[in-house]
Amino acid sequence: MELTLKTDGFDKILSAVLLVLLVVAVAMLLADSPVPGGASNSKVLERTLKTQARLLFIQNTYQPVELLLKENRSQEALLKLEELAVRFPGEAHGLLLKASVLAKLGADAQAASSYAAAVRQNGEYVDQKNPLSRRDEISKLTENGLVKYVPLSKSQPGDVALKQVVRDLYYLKSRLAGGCE
Amino acid sequence: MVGKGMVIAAGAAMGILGVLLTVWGNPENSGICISCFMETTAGALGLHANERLQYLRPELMGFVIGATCSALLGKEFKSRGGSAPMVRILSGILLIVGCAVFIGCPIKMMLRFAAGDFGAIAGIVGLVIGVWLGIRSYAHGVELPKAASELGGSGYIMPVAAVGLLVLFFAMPAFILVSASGGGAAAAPWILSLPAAIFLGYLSQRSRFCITGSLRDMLLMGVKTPMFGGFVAFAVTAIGAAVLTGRYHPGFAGQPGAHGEHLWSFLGMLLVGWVAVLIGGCPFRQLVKAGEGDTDAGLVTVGMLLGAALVQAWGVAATAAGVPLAGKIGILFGLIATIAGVLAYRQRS
Repeated sequence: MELTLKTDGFDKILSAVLLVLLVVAVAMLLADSPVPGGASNSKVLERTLKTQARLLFIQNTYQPVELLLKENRSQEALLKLEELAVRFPGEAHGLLLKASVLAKLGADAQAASSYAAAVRQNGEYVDQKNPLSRRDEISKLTENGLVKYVPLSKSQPGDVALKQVVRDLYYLKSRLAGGCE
Repeated sequence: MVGKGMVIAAGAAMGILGVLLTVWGNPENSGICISCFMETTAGALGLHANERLQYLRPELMGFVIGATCSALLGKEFKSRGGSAPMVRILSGILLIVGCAVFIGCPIKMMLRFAAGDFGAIAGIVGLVIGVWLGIRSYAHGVELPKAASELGGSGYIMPVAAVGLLVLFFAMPAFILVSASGGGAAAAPWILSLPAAIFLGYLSQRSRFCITGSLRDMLLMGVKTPMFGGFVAFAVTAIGAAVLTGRYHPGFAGQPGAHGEHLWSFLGMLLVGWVAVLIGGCPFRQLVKAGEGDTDAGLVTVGMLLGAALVQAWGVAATAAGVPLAGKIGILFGLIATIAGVLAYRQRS
């Protein structure tokens, strides 16, 4: 045992002060946690505002695209997305919608590339519980795509574009599988 | 002398709990991953801004507290340290750089392999070669200065810090951040993860079991070392648990928390193995040693926390998309620093 057991008045005073300070510090710490099991109100508010701002941006920006998609005007939706991509190049939700349209049109290879680009920017699209989650449609495309493109790529080893498609599909599979990011 | 039974028990417990923690909610193949836990903990403390990696992992504190309990009960707790402190901090950073590029510490590497991620083989080969390089460095006279006993109970600082972090975990004050989604949001309930971690910390302190140490002993003594039994027990139970829980998905690509840049996985784990042997243990072993009063290991732990913040803040950490340029440069600088350290600490007389 390293700590000496011999104590004098000085030790006792310091120990008492230490205990009091410890109790006060822990009490103050506990008092500073208004949200059970979470961050403070300000942080929750900050995060909520950020999420809502993003949702509002998506709603305002991509509403014309969503309307066209509802009317099954996929080609026009793609053109509108191209137009928006000029204003917001590489924006994740635009890439996701583009992937979704391409998948509907049967262009799985391009859809995989676009989904992968979207997920690289925003992992929320493959999260289980998230308002932006598109996990099911990404999962479906990935499963079907791997069945289709892996044997194709093996039969054409020199095809660089095919290799990239398979790489994108495996990336999506990896993200869907979870794990540390 | 460590009992063979205790080492096997520690290895088996680590293999089973490593998989079960995933079943209970930790990220896939990351039931136990010191580097991942360090990164989420650094995020929770506001040391980096990746909102998807913020969670004060109670497992980290549990490992240290379990080791402290074991050391105190076994009368092995001893404040000691003073061996090249700056080197220890830098080594902690390098360990995390290597792990972040591979995506996982040596324990997670084995858990990834046990779950059928054959991409982990590149890391295993890298780790073995790194450990071998560490042994060769020792054989050529490379040794850090001897640690000395420290008066004043400095060895208690890390265990007290672990308890303090646990208080923060339960109190959740304003400055502690928690991910709403992503890897940081995937967590086993603390009622399961904390006791499991304390148990593993306890067993690992008793047995001295760790992955890198097992490899080192196996390279030195072959299968006669007790660590061989622990290593085999870990591998067998982890594979068994993965199969039984439906988590065995063999393949090279599309694995959770993994990438296909095998050269960099190899180099990342080579760096980890080499550094780990020179400083006396992998990231997990450093936590256990910090819990038994080793302030040198405590400094490595501080370095690991700093490294965890840096790899996220500077974009060093690899993702499923691959290894970023910063990660590759980080590995090269890590190897440069290690070779420089080996040259500097070599006893030539």
